Amino acid sequence: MTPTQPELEDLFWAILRRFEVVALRQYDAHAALLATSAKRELVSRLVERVPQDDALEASSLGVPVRGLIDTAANDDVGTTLLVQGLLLEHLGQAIYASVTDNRHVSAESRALAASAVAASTTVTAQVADRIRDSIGEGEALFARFAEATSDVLAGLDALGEGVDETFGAPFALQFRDIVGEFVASVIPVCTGLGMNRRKVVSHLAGAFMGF
Amino acid sequence: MPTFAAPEGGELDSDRGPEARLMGLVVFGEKVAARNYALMADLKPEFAPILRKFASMEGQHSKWFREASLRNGIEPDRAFAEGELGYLIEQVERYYDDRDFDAIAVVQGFIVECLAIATYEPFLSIADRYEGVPEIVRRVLDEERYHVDWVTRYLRLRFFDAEEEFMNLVERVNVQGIDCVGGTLMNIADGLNAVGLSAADCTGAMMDEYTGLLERVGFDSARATRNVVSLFVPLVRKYRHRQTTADAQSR
Repeated sequence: MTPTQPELEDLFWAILRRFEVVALRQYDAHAALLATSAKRELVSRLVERVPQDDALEASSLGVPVRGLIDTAANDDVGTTLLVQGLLLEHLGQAIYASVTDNRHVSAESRALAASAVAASTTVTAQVADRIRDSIGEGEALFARFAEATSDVLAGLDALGEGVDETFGAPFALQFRDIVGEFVASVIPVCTGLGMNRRKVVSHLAGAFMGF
Repeated sequence: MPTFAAPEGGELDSDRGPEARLMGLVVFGEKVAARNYALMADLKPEFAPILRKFASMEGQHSKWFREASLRNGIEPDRAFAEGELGYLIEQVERYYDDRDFDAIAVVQGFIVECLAIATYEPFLSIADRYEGVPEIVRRVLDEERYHVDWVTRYLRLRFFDAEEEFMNLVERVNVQGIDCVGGTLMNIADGLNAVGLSAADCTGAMMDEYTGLLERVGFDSARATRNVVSLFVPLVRKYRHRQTTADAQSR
């Protein structure tokens, strides 16, 4: 049975709630400065809005979402900063931005997405400095970044297919545009941290391709 | 000027499939490039002298690569190359029939040249394995960059103050052009890896080169990146599907 628009919006927010809850948990455990009050408030709003996972688990997105979250979960400062603080925050911002001005979703979802972008920005505004302090810059950082993010990037494409199938037509949203936005925002942060742009692009391309 | 003679009675090794396919693409691709510049010269007589010169240079590249390939015992796989690039030839012929010079300039000057640079540049790291090849690759790379420089300057002036018009042109041309050329890159990914290159590096190089060209013509960096990445994502997905199917069949 085709889901209704409210059901689709619930599913959309259930996915993002799962990611945001794990991100906040990781920040609390390994990078307290990134557990901002705006982020904490966003997680509370999302938990309140979609308290259950039933619809997500019953959907075709349940498995890839769980897979990606398991891959992204980690137990150290460096990986938390690189995977959650850098990669997934920028991906989240690209996803939220695709909804903020989207007339195919409700005003309530557009407003929530705008708050989510603002909350995420409180994290990404600090993450480069935290990465520089904890891991360093340049070639050594690139090596660590490549190692930490490969599996997560590879898992994104599986999620992308489900996103296109589920939200593509009703939300007029395409995963390739989200990835374009995401890559366009991540590359300047990486080059600002002294990583070589060509290497970063090659890593992103290779990881997406599964090399 | 490097010159090479085909081996007299030299051994051609039929087991060198990946190299034969890559060299087929290189030799045939350079011929396609020569033809594209010749068609551009027909459409804009005011630029004919320089474009015919480019066509001649591309034809020479093809000849150098073919001779060097044979000298190293590799018969370029023409049938494979024709299958891969047929789509691109058809696209250019259509633009020629429409007298659409700018569209051919984007296909040839940006997409085809980017693929060439993105494979020749990493190839330099392994070119020493092949007799006489490093000097050809270095020379060809310089000349391809010279061609790209001209096309970039032409487009920058042609679309000066008309960024949206240029964006529309690029998007129109890219839909088929990147699908063909980027798809070819995906199709030869295993071959690139087999000869010791990194398909990921070549793909990244192509994306980065292409993004850089859009920036040089006037796109802001984020917009150029978004445009190029969103074109490659479907190709990458196709590639992953094909790999998954191949892996399942081999089990």
